[in-house]
Amino acid sequence: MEIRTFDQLLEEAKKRGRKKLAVAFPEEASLHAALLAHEAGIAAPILVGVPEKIRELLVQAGADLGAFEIEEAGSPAEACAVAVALARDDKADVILKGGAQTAQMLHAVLDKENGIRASKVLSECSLYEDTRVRHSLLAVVDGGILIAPTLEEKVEAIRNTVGVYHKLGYENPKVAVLAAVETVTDKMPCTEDAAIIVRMWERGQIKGCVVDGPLALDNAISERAAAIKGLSGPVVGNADILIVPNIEAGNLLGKSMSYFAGFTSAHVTIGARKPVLVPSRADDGRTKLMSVALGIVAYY
Amino acid sequence: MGPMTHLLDIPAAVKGLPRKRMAVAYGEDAHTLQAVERAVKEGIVDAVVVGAKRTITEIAGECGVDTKLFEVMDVEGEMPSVKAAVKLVRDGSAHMLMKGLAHTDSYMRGILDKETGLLPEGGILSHVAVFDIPGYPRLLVLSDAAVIPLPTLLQKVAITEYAIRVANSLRVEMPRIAFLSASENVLKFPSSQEAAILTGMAVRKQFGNVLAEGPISMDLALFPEVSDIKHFKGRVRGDADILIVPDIDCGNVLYKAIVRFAKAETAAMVTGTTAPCILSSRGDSEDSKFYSIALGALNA
Repeated sequence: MEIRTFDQLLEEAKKRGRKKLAVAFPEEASLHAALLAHEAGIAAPILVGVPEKIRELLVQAGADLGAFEIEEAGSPAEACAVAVALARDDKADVILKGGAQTAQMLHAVLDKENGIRASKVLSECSLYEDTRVRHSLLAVVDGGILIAPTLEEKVEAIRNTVGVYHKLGYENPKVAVLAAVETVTDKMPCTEDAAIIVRMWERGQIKGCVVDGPLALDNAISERAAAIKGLSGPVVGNADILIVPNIEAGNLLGKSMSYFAGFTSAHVTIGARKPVLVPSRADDGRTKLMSVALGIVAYY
Repeated sequence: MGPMTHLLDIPAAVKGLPRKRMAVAYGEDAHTLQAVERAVKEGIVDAVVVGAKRTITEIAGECGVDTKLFEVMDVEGEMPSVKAAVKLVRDGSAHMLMKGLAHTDSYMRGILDKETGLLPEGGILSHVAVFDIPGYPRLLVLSDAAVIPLPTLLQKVAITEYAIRVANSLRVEMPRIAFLSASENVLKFPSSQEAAILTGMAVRKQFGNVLAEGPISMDLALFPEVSDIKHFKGRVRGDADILIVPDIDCGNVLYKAIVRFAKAETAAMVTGTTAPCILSSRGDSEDSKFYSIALGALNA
């Protein structure tokens, strides 16, 4: 079954049992996420940081002090390293970044000696729950990690995301490589990348999905808009995964869906041996919980 | 009527059109005069041969060409003859240009002259060859084997458009285009990626009514049985009408291999100019010169 709502996603996560969630240097926001996941029955948090501070936070949050495992780490960087080590040794299933810098977290994940890199490229998969128009989950890649992705990075990000969709029950997810237009022009290099990526898919160099591009956003998600432009094919109007040209486009598109359309989102970093969650402090509770659920379903 | 399948079909088609006038630049050699004589006798063109009248008459006498078949414009010297012939085309009193004894350099200099030449401002000059290969079911259009050494993507777009026009003139209504490379997989070198981009443009109808595939290797493009063996599923599979080569080296080698090994007859012309320009060399057969004149007249 294709998962099409976040409630279904949460149900799927529950079927996997409680997963061990290592929180690197918890602060209020990440602790909140861990508590929500714990309450929902999908996670058993391991809080990595300064024990006294963690206990203080737990008290403030009104949580049961005895119910959570605590691992000592003196600094945010050390907490990231410990969380990654727990994941590497299979003592943690999911990593959640707390009050550490994103760069510190990624540094620990990608560390050549002690890291847990599994793919050539780390990419962020952001899912948006469209409860209004198409009633489906729409992925935006990449609005968080790949700043100005090269062709190779885009291809790897597609492979990472397609893997997630397979876990979500999609046999052949539909991937739209976005640009501002649907024509190919050397004035907009992302349209050239899109044309190359589509040929790679046609040649079987990208598997397990259907790819089309370049497509403007409207052609990718609205059958009506695509028909007016004379576009056809399985992807147009029905995309599951939107590959954006750069981080600015991904960020703006994602935040537009969150803030203008009110869609809930969930975010997971793909490409390490375990899911890595890098939340934003502005995330609401549902996003925090669904990000944990997404990390679990994407990997287990 | 269906697509032309032999070069003989070109003069046959031209005979049904209003007679075109050809200016011959520096026609002071027997090969050129014989080619002109044949073209005029067969009703393909009217001709004005530019060069020293005395020399032309003398050579015509030696090789038995009847000078009454064409007009002679008396001009002394190579470059002045080229310029005068180009001017006839520029002024509209001739519809096409043919190279006589003039060196290719001088001929091209005359065509490319910004003030007095035949290239529109910002225009891109290219070369199109048509092959009639014994035992092969179609005419093949090849570009660019002679003019642009290392074409940029934009130049390849122009090269492709000219080749399509020539294919259309051969009554191929929806030409199948192969953007050639060494492999059908999209690899990291530029010609492979450019072939993918050009194919993307064709898929988005930026070349009009065509079918295109690339990157694609020559055997997949021209031989259906190879496409079968490789289970190649493409818009073009062994039935290409147009071959677009990555660069002049590849094009030139392919051109000469087809002529020498496959014993093909050819017709060729320079495109991108305001009127067709025939650029035959002394190595070309008499038939080839005749067919090139016919191809020029067909496109004039």
